[in-house]
Amino acid sequence: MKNRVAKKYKSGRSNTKQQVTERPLPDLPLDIMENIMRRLYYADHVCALAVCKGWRSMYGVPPLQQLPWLMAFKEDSWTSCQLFDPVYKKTHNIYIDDSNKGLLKGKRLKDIDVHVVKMDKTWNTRTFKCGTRLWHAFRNAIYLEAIFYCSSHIGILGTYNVTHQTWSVFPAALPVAHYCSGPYYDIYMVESNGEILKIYTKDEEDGPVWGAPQISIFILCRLNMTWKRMENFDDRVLFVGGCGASLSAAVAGRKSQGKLANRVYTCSGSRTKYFLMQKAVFRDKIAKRSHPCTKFYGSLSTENCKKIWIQHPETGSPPGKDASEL
Amino acid sequence: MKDSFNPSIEPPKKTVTLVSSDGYDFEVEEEVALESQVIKDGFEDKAVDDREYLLFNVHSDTLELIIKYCEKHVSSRKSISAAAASSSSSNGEEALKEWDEHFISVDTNTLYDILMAADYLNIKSLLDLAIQKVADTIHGRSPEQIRKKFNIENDSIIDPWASE
Repeated sequence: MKNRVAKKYKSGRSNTKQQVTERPLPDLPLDIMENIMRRLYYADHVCALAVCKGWRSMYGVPPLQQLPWLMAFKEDSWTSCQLFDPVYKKTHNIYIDDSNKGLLKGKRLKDIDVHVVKMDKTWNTRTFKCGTRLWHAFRNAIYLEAIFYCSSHIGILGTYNVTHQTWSVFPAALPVAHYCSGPYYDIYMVESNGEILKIYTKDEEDGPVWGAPQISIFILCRLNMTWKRMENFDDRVLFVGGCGASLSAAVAGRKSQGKLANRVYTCSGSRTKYFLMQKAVFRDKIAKRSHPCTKFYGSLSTENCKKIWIQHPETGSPPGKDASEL
Repeated sequence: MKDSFNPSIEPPKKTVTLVSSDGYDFEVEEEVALESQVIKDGFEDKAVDDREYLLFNVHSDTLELIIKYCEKHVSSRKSISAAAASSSSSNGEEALKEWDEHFISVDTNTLYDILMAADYLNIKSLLDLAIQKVADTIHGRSPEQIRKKFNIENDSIIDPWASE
C-alpha cells in the first residue's frame, strides 16, 4: 500500500486555490482564547493582556500556576524593591510612589486590626484587638475557614473567629518547646492542604544547638488546638519567609517541578536555602543540613535585603485601572 | 513482511468521504475520520453508503493537514500498542511527540486554520497541540513582539505597559 489513503479531486464546486487573507487571530473563540491564557505564566499573561482590546478582556482567566516569586527590599525603605521570577530567571525592579501614605494601611475588621508595622528597623505583621487595647506581636497570620490564626515568636497562638467575632489565645503547648522556643529558631506558620503547619528552622550560621534538629514541623489539631509533630510530608513543598508570607504549593503531577517535592524553602538568610524532608528525616527527626538552592532562586543575590515569597494573584487585574480601585 | 502476517483475508477498509469548504473530496479510512469527535458522535446512526461529511468551515489545504495528523496518530497508536503487547521496547510515544512538534511548526495563518478546524471537528489532541503552540509562541515575548508575530493591530489608545 504505497498510495496515500486520502484522495483529492475536484468535485466541480468552487475552487479557491489558496486562502490569502490574514487570519483574525484577535477574534479567536472565547473558549480557545481562555485555554491559551490558562497556559501562560504570570509574566506572559500580563504581556498577552496588553496586546489588544479583545485579549484584554481575558484578565479574569487565571494564569498558569508557577513557583513563587522572590521579593527583596531594603530594611529601611518600601519605595523600591526587586522581584525575581524563577521561570525566566529575571529580576524586575519596582519603584513605589510613597507620596500616598495610605498605601501601607492595615485591614480593619470589626474587632481586629492587622497591620504591617515597622518595629526596630524590621517590618512585622501585628494584630490588634481594639476593644481592650490588648495586642500581640504576631509574626504570622493565616486565614482559614473564617478564622485568623496568628502565631507569636514564642509560639503563642491567637485565633480570631470572624463570624462570631471572638478572640482567643492559646499557650505554646509544644512537645519540644524547650529548644524550639530558643533564640536560634525562626518560626513560620503556613496553611497547606487545609492544615495549619508550624515550622521551626535554625540557621547553622547562628551556631549549633545541642541535640536539636535544624527543622521541625508541627500540625495544628484544630479540635483541641494542640500541635503534633508532622510524620508525613506527602510530596508537598513549602516556601517559608518573613512578614508572615509563607506559601504551600502542590507539585504532584508536574514533570518540571517534580524534583521540588518534599522540600522546605527558606529565604531568611542572605541566601535562599531548602531543607529536604525525606522519609528518613522524619524517622530520625533530624534534617541533617540545609542546601543552597542555586537552581531556581540562585540569581537574586541582593545583600542586606529582606526577602519574602510572593505569589501572583489568582486572576489578573483589569489593566490601566488605578490600584486603589481594585 | 506485513503481508506474511496478514494474509489477504483482511476485508477492504471502510472509508468515509470528507468534503472541504472549497469542494474537494477526501476519501479517508473510517478510523481516521473517527478521530474527530463530531464525526464519531452519531456515526453509527448514519447509513453506510451515506458516510459523506460536508465540512463547510475547513479549507482543503487545512483538511489535508488535519487528515495527515489523524492518520499519523491512528497508525502510531497501533504500533505503540503492538510494541507494548510484544513487550518490545519502543520509543513510539517520544517519536510521536517529535512528529507533533514538527507538524505544528507552521506559520501563523496555518496555525489559526488548524486551531479553528480542530475546534470545529472536535479533535481534542490536535486542539491541545495548537493551543499549546500559541501559548509557547507568546512565552517570553513583549506585547509588541506578540502583535508582530501574530499580525495583530494595536487597537488601544493608551498602552498601560508602555515604558515610561
